[in-house]
Amino acid sequence: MSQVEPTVFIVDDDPAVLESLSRLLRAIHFPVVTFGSPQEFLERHDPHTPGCLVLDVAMPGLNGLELQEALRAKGSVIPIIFLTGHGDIPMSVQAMKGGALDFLTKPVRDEDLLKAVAAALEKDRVEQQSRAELDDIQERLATLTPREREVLTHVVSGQMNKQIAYDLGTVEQTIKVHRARVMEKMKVNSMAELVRLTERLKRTE
Amino acid sequence: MFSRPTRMSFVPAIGKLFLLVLMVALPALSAPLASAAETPKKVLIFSGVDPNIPSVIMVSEIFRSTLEKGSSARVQFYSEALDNLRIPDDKYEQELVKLLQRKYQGEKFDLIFTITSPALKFLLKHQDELFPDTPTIFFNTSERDHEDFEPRTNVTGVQGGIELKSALDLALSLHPGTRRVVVVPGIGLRGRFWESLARKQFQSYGTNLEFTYPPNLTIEALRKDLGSLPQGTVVLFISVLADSAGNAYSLPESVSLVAPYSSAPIYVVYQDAFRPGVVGGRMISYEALAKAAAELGLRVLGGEKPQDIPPQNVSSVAMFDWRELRRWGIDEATLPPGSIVRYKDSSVWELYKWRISGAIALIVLQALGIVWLLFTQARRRQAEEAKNNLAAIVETSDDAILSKTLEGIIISWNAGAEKIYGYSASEIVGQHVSILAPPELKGEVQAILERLSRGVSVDHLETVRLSKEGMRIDVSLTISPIKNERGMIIGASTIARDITARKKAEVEELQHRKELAHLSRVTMLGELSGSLAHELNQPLTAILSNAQAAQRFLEHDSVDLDELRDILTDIVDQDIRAGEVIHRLRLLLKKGEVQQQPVDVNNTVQEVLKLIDGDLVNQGVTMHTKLAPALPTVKGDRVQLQQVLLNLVMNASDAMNSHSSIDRQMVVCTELSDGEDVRFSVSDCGSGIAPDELEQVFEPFFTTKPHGLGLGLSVCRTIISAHGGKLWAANNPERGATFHFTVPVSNEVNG
Repeated sequence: MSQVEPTVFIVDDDPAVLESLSRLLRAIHFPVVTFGSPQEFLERHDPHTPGCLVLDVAMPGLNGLELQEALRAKGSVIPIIFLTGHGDIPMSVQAMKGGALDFLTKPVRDEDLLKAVAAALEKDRVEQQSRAELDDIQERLATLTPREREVLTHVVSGQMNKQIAYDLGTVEQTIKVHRARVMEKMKVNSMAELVRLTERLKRTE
Repeated sequence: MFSRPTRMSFVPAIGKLFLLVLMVALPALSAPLASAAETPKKVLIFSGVDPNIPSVIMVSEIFRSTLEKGSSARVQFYSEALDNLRIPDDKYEQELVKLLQRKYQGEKFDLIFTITSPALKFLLKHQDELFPDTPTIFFNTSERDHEDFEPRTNVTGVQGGIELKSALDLALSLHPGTRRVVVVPGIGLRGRFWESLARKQFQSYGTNLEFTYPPNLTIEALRKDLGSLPQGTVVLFISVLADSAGNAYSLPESVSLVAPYSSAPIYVVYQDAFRPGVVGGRMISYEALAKAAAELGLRVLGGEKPQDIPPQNVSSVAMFDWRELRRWGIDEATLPPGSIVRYKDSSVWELYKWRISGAIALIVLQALGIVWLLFTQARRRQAEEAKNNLAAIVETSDDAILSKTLEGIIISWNAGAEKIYGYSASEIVGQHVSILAPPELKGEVQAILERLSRGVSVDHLETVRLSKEGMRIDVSLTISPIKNERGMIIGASTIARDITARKKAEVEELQHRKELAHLSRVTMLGELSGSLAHELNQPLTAILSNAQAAQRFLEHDSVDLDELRDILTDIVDQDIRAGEVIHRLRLLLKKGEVQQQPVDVNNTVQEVLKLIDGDLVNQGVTMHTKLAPALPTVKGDRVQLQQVLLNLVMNASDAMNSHSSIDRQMVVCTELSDGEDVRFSVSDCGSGIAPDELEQVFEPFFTTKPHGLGLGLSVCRTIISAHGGKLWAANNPERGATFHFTVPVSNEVNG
């Protein structure tokens, strides 16, 4: 997954504009894929592909904002840069609320576009990375037995082994064994590391 | 001429004279021949009563004429009368017998008629002394007259059958309310006979009717009695031949003395008694009786023996006096069938039928003649009035009315012509019409004259003429040939209307419309600004991005020249694209002259769609076009037609504002309709138009938009009407509305 190069997707119904934007981005060596209509993109886009989306707002059929909504509904988190002929405030507010990264006015200067694309890709990269970490933690967590999960919950809340044993109705020695297995399965060396991992999980829940 | 009528009247006169001579001469010639053939027959008519009373005269006359006509031999008539009812004296009777013996000594009668029973009795009594063996025919009025008659050799005759009951029945049937009957049977032996007969026959009526038999009275007392009868009474007058004062009367006489004074209707049984004042009744007809007796006489003269012929009964007939029927209010229709009605007034019409008809015909003819004269006079007056009216109309008309010869020489000139052209009639009559035409239109005048000589008229030709002062006047000319009574074209009449003011108004109207259309376009372009920004932004974006991409490509170590070439080509194309947007915008904003040119339909539609494309995209409207291929051009102003289309497309787009973008579908169609128009349609998927607003939307200041002026559609309709087309709205079957407009196909070959 992480081997795939981040790509800039461009959606615009005007072929001339589409081609010119594609050229500009290719000139700075971004991998570019173009789509002539939002529907086409929606059908062909893989949400796991890293990259960002440069999206024209005004298009017949499905417009840019509607595409944004449809993508969110599919669970895609791809960062979106909107392009518009005449950006009005209600439209930009809606776009931003929907999680748009930027809202640029046509004709767009190359620096503005490149800056926005770079930022979007970076955001996507971070997003993808944290997402990968999270997936990793989840995977580790999934290997624990229900008893071990109980022990983990008590451990990260800062309870002593003795107290945990008393709470779970067992002996301290057993808790010690469980604790060691949890540390091993979660691939951590310190108590602090374990707490960080669980905190990370809590944040995303 | 003079001799003809004389000859005409002379010929019939001769004819008449000849006929007259023949008529006189023929009987004179034939009489000696007949008398020579046979010895004359001798017939004695013997009356028992006064021979001069009318009924006896009538009966004798019937005997005479019947025998004269029917007998082959000549007949000589003798007459005698007895009158022994008035003079009942035996001595007189004996003396009379002696006289008759003496008078007819040596005479031999072939036939004797007796009239009334006294005569028959007398003859039978004295037959042997007077006329032994002579055949005798009696004429008796009633059975009673011969009840003591014994059949004898050589005697036969006729007798009347009097039926009192049927006589009274008839009277009662004509007077349904009758309660009382007065029977007048007379006095003496005969009177008693009739009274007892009547009492016997009338018994059957029982007590329903009251019968009275006046006692022996004088004729005056009878008259008084009958004069004071109450209503509901009828009188049956049988016979009065004498009164108690010893006066003798004939039946007609006694009836005549009392009948006119009676207050009740009088019915009689003898025809003798049928006198003025008598209604009538079932009575013995003396004519019928006499005719029957005369016929018997003929048979006897012809050789038959009287004893071989039995006496005949002749029944009575119903006879009435028309005047009395009217007096008593009896309808003729209620009389028994076969009734004889006498003394009927002949109407004036029956008497003078021909004269009246002639007079009426004459009056009718005269009236018709008068009516015809009045009619022709009225028609002449009408024609004269119409002529005067026509002349007045021509003279007071505001239009110039003039006539000219086929060569173009002006013959007449009205006041209107003087007012329009400035020439007086005296100045211009005799001049050539081309004096009125401006120099460049002299040819037109000649062409018109040439057309007229072929009988072709000119209808509402709008052209220019010159006034006396040299001013140019816009006129509408209607010129028709004038024909003489043989149908030959001898000239032409011209009606010229000054249309300068109208022309000016038309130009002003056109200007006004143009400005309004322009204003509407400018307003519309304001609304279009978003679309225009988009339309310009797209090429500008492409140009900028291409240019900047090129800059960056140039910084690469190896420059891809193909890429650069493509970039430059695109930049050029996009610049042109932007230029076109500006051009279209300028065209639409231009306030130029309205041009009527052939316009390519589909091209116009596409241009409009390009203009509005940005707006449609902004609004998320998907546009579909169904443009019929190979359409003919339409005649009109391209900019104005685009304006209309633009307006309709913008409206359609607005109509779908509140719908989700998937539903924002618009269709623009072009098609040929009826081969004479091109139809443009713009359909949306909006909410449609309320049925009562389908027409209202075209009214000025009607709008459903928050910021609309409400002028767009009204201006569109004005534009399309000026193009000779129609603009209308209709709701689609499923949803949304469609606006249609038609524009006539241009007749010119596509340029």
